[in-house]
Amino acid sequence: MAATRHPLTEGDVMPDLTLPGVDGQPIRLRDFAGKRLFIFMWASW
Amino acid sequence: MRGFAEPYSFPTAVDSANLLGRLFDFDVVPNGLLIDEAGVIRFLHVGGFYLSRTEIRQQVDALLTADFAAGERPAFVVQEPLELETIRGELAHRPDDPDLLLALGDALLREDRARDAAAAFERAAEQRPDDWSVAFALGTALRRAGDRADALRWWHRALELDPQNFTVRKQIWREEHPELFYPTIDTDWQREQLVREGYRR
Repeated sequence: MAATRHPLTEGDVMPDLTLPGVDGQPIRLRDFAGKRLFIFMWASW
Repeated sequence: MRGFAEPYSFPTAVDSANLLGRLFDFDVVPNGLLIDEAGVIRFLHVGGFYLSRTEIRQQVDALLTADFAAGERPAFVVQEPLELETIRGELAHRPDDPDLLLALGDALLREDRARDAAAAFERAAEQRPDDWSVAFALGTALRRAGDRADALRWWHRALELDPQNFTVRKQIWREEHPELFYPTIDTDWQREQLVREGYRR
């Protein structure tokens, strides 16, 4: 039986993520630990 | 966009595997997300979060300077992405767990093993046949593996499952009509296409 998914929302702890930067270098959320972080999600199209 | 961000600095990341989309189950951009010093999500706004608008930028400023009572949470709870060996070990006990299969696909994509990632996502899709984000992830892995036809098939499947999904729709457009996206984006065509496709939001 498939597990239920719970989308993250306000109040949840953000899991760590690693995404490639535009220069190819990895960007890790954990590198921003202790800082306030605003993430803007957009698309070029 | 960089001008809107003054005086803050930022790096730009590429989420081609739609990891954030799956974590938050959003189907549209632009979106805003604020994480406080303790790693807690304090603000999430999905859709219409245009930094070009003064009131939106003022909201971001307010969020960045707000006095959140962080409580007694530990400093930034880090959840490491699962490593391949860990995932495989777990899958030995739960071979059909869709979350593990998705984690496997993500881990394989991180190693640029798109074909293997697609196989993992396909198994996840068998477990979650009605989940647009799984179909989308499978299509994205297939596209990265060079299998354009099957990628489009799965992206169309994702759109069937979530007909008002703006992200999937645009991904399909870009693949089917690259001339309308490069070297410049034909936004007039997009507006007209939304009407033709009966998109309502």
